[in-house]
Amino acid sequence: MNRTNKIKDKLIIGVSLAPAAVIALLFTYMAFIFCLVISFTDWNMLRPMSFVGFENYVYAFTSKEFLNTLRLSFIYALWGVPLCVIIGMAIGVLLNWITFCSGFFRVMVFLPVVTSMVVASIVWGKIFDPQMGSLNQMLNAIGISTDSHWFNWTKDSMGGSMAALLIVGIWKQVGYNGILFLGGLKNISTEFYEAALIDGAGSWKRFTKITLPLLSPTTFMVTMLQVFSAFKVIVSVIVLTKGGPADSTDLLVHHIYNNAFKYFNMGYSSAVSVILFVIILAFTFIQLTFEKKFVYYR
Amino acid sequence: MSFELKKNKPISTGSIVAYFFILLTVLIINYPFFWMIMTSLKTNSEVFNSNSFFPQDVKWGNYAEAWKAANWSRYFMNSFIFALIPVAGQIFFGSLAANAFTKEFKGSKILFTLFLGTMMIPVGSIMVPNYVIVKNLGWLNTYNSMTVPFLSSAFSIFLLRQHFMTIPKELEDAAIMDGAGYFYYLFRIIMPLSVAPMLTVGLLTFMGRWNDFVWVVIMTTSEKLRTVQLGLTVFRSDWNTEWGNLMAACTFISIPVILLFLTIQKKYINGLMLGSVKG
Repeated sequence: MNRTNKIKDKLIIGVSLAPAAVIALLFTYMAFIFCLVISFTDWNMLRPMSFVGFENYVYAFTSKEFLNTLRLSFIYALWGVPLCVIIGMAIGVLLNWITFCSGFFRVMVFLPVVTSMVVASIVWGKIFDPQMGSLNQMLNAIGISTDSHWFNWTKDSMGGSMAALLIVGIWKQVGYNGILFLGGLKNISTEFYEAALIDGAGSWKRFTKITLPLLSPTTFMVTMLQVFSAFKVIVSVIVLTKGGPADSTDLLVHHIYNNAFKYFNMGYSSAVSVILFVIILAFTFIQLTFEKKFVYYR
Repeated sequence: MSFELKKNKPISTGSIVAYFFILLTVLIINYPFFWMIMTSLKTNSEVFNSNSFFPQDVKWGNYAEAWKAANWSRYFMNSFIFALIPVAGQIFFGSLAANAFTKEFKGSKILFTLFLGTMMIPVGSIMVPNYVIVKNLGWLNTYNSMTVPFLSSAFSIFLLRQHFMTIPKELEDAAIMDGAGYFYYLFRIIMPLSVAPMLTVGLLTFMGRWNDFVWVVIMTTSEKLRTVQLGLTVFRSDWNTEWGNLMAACTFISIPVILLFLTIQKKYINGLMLGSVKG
């Protein structure tokens, strides 16, 4: 009796996990192993593949284009992450401050998160349009000259294109971060503030001495989320800049995509995929170590 | 863990300042949406000849023109299929797996870690091999490639398990005493008690699938399988697409996902604030 029950239990567990396990195995783990294997070949979809050892990796780290891609991705992250965190925090503080209609404002800052990146990139692309777009018109209206080639945005301005990608990326993320910060702020007990008020601390002092330290777990989590998402950017690149002008916005995932599906360098783009994985892995380790050590918990 | 709002606070200068800034923030953040809708109501000559934010003579015809210019009904149908089948899959298979992971069995910890491990592998780094896998399955340009890989995800399993763990064990003991089987208990008792996390899973899956672009571009070339997102990019690059038409298309393809979000926003945003839905 007991034995048949045990077999039945195992069967139930097996049946329950099978569909999810097949999908995880096939489309993630096997895919990853394939990726590793392909990265050591010269496969280009035309001729049969042959193993070339570390050639793709050596090529990557000695070629200008890959180092450029890597540099651009880090530049994107170095600008995007702090801005997303700071603006997100400001939105969180504002949302925490207000009481009336708070639900409405939460929804309103969240709408870009829900919208597709394709729509976001197309709409922003028109706003960025140097002649007809409303951004330059507005800048002109408030007295900022848009004669500099920067303000050609996605049309043949290298810095402008990167700035455009950053603006779209930040716009899409800050509402999400704002809500995460709001959650963190609501977790801070009001007793701390009451005590500080009695001690006569001003609002800036209360923010820097109470809010910031007690919010640090959220800040850390949001920062890491932003780092990961900075290295995943692709749709805005495809739709808004196509990696250009002159490869100035050819971020990592777009580089993988272009090499694989435009030039059919499957071997090389798999090698870049593995490098991307290693970068994400390194950040995950940073996250796991620092989470324990440096975050100030109550 | 106090989630109570400080109520009955008198209106102070501080809160007026706060409202000023939050209104400004909301206006700036939503400016692209206002601009999109305003432009969708403008004629082409107005777009190019006038600096006015509001349309001078409202041209609703842009919506009809945009709708007629491409096979949108087909694209909408595809997008709904590609979104709703994974939604059903993630809730059904996710609940199955999540419930199994609430039990202790040999290797349960390792298996669960392996599931969570899938979240560490960035999607961007496995799109090339996934193309190869889908190709070898003979699934390029089929509905399978657009639905099957998304029938389950570690994130949904994790989210549902978190909730299933909070359901008291006594409930299961009582149900089994009454003769309920494992699956009867899962489908008739646990799942009805877990509507909130299932809605979150549903919303996240729908958003992800409806808004997805790269997977569709890689896995399909056929016009028959085109989704609204892909349709929009093709519609844009068709030469001389008028801005009004393009913005009208941007507007109508965003409506389903925004409506869905507005329906469940309260549960979702509260979940996000509690830190239970990060990801």
